[in-house]
Amino acid sequence: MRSKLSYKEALWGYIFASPWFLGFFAFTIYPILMGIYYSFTEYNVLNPPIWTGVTNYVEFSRDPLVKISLYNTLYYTFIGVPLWLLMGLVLALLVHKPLKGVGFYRTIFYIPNIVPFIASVMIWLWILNPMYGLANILLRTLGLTPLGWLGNEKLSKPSLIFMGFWGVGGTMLIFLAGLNDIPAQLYEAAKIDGANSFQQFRYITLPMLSPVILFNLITGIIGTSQVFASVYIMTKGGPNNSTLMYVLYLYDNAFRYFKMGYASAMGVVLFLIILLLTILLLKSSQGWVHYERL
Amino acid sequence: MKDYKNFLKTIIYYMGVSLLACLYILPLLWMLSTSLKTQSDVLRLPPVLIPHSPQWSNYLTIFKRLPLGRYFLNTLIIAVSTMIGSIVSCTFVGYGFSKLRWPLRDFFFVVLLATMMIPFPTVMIPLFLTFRRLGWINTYLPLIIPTFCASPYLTFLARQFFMSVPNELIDAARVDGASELKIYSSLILPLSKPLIIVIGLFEFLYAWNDFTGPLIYLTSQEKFTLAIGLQLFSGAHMSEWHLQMAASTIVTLPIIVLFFILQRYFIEGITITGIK
Amino acid sequence: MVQKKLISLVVFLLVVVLLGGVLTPAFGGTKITYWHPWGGRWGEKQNEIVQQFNKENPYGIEVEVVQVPGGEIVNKLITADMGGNPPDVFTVWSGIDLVLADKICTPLDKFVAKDPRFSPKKYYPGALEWLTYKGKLLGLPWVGALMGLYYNKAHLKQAGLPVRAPKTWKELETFADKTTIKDPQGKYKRFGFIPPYGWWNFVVQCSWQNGGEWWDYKNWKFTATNPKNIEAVKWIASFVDKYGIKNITEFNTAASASPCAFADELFTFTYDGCWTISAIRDYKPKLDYDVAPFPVPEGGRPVSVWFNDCMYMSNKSKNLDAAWKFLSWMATEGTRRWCIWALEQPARYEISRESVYQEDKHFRAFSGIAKYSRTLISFPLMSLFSDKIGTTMESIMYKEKTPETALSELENIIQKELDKYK
Repeated sequence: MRSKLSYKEALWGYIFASPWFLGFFAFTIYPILMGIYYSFTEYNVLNPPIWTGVTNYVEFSRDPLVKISLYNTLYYTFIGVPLWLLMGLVLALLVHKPLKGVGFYRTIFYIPNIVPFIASVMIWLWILNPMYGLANILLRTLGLTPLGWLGNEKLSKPSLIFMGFWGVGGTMLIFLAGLNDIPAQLYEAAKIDGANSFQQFRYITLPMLSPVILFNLITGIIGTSQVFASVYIMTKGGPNNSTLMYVLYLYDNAFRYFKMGYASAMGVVLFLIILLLTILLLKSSQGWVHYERL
Repeated sequence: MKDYKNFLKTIIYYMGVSLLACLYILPLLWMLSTSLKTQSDVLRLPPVLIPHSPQWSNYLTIFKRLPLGRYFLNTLIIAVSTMIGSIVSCTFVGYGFSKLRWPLRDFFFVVLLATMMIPFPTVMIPLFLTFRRLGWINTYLPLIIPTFCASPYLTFLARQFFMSVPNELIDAARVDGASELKIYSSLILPLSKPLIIVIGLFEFLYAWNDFTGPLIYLTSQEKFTLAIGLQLFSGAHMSEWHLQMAASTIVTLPIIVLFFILQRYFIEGITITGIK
Repeated sequence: MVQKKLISLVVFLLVVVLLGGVLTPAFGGTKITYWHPWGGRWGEKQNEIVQQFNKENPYGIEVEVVQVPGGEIVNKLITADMGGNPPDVFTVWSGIDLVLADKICTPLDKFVAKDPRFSPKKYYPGALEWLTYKGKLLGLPWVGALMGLYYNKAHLKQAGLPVRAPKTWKELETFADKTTIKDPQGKYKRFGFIPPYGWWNFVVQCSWQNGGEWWDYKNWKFTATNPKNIEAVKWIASFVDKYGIKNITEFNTAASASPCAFADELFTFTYDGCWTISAIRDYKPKLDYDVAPFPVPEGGRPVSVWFNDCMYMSNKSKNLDAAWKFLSWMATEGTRRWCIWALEQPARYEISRESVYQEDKHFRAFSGIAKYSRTLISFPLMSLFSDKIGTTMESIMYKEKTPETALSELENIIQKELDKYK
């Protein structure tokens, strides 16, 4: 029997949340409010902002590059995130075994997350090089046609998604921690009842993992829709704007074209889109996420 | 017969995992190989995987170019501090958002998530001005203090894990007269070793490789971190990639070792969780 | 117990951190800060030159150097200026946009007026103009960035062509056609020439050579749709008809793995700057090549585009006098030492008379090229222009838009932004 909602519990709730409240009011809320304010101004960073109402939003609705960058970003997010999640889960299942040497494999799968970003970017530019890269060398030895990868406007986004598989070590770790929390007794009981591996996965593993699946989905969407650094360094949005991601275009407007007001409007819109997606996901999660023990 | 089947399964398993591991380690091998080349070897087309005369001296040259030892210390200070900050605050606040009921809790949880949804370039300047007003520019405070305030990603993670702790355990403790603080420290935390290791590792690694934060807030070169240092191998038209990869290797190796040691602990963590 | 340990560790770390941020060594003379974007051995050389100034200068000025990674220095300058704490002197590759310089830099006119070292006659044409905005000189050149036509003599010999640089666009096309090679599978192994269509300086140079104009400073008009520009752009785009855009972009991507694809003999002709001379010397010293001015269209005139790496003084500097002493030294003596070491294009005539340059036969070509150089005068938004012209050219090369449409759209977009700074 759960205790009824009490004044004491509510007080403790606020106490426990207080470090976050502190940080929020000290560091977060002012920049957010300023960002929203700037979106209604003509602000070139050099001079004080001038109020222009919804001009930026009107320009936003007519800007072809906004449509392109939004398309690119949503393409990358909605194809990439589920695929990477799946890969992370597969890897986690593969290394959640008490077999010899499995520690090495866990480490190897996580190494790409440890390697500094600048190094991994250089490495991937080499691997995907159409003439000399490892990827095409492999394709050629297998008798397949070499690809243009990042140099081909139709393959550039899939190439980025392909690169993303290398970085699923973090997702794998979180799934591992989640798998760890599943009591072994549940599997034993299921085996006794005659359930095979697939059924065990479907009726025990998946539901017990659902809280972290939700976590990885939401944080994956939030993070991936804001992709910036990789395209900034590797492709600068090319070829032919095929990898022009939303935040890259936002950044260019803010710091290269002196259109901070416009960039802020872009920021506000992206925020609203991600917020909407997240709320939808959270609402749907009531249908498939199980928090308590079965 | 059954033993033979299991043996076959195991062989197939090891083959499959090894194949995947080869793909995952290939880029790392390339980094190592480049780190041992001379400048012209790096540029040579077609590229070779194993340089014919490995330049171990590259690993000494990088210390001549930059005070990497100093940067290592700086980065360590930041990484350890933020790791502590995150472990303490994210679990603390995560508990508040999961097992305690208070008015507007779910609303503020969405607000917490929402703070992750604002693109950084939008808030970069006002955030910088905030820290400027506090006098924290050119110190490590802007990088460390916010991690003591429950950064959203890891707090969300903690919350998800805590939601899975059976309510019966907590209610029993409450009935026994334990305060929420005691429940948090003596019941929840010990049950969450894998979570704590993940939080600590992620935050440490983030601080170790973070480049944007330190670059904006630090203005004296001796305070720079390893991540900034790694960017300082480029000229206007060319870069010293062989040195950059050597430096990257040095930056990476300690963490690989650290991870290899840690990963055993949090997998073997605990699997029994109280009442079944 | 664990909590107590944690808390004391945290407090200890915080104390260390705070101390680290507060302790600074005491110092007597004037201290100024200098930011530059170089890393690697180039960064080392910069630091070395600055240390030489610290030792040699009789004014007791000590310069503190901070290396800021090249791509980030502009952001950092903006935030530092807003925070009231910018560096006294700083250098930026290709310079910062003039509107930004106008906001954060000290105009140097009154400093250079009485100083014969900075007379315009000492500088190549365009060098000082690149840093001039609405009549104010906002910085000084560090080194220039002229481009010439590099050509591989061995390839020409192989193809039975005259072993000299092509003089016209038509000749370039003919020569390049003959030296382009495919492998047995039909993939390109070597391209005679791929025009760097995404580089603003290439597009502008071709236009100028053809008699076109892009920027009418006096009337504040951006004239992308000048018919002579369109002709030049059409010529650049004609390479797509010959080779196909997919082949061109893939080959370019592959070639970018080498910072000197010309030295790797992936191209017979390339449009590049004089820093490539030392790159070739280090990497492929036996390469049989030379440099010449870029070919002109029929009836066109030789023109080169000049732009610089630039040095500036912040207008929030608390030591303007010391900053100027350092800046003026760097812009005359510092750059001389750098140029001799790096063999980059000097902005000052006297530096190109040093023996290193006189003895290099390839560099002599650049002296000739520099004679015809000019630059965009007082163009406020170079970053916007260089980004947008890149994507405009791509849309033309990918045949998504005609040159007329694409340039007309470009003109509208850029004119709209330029009008904000009239």
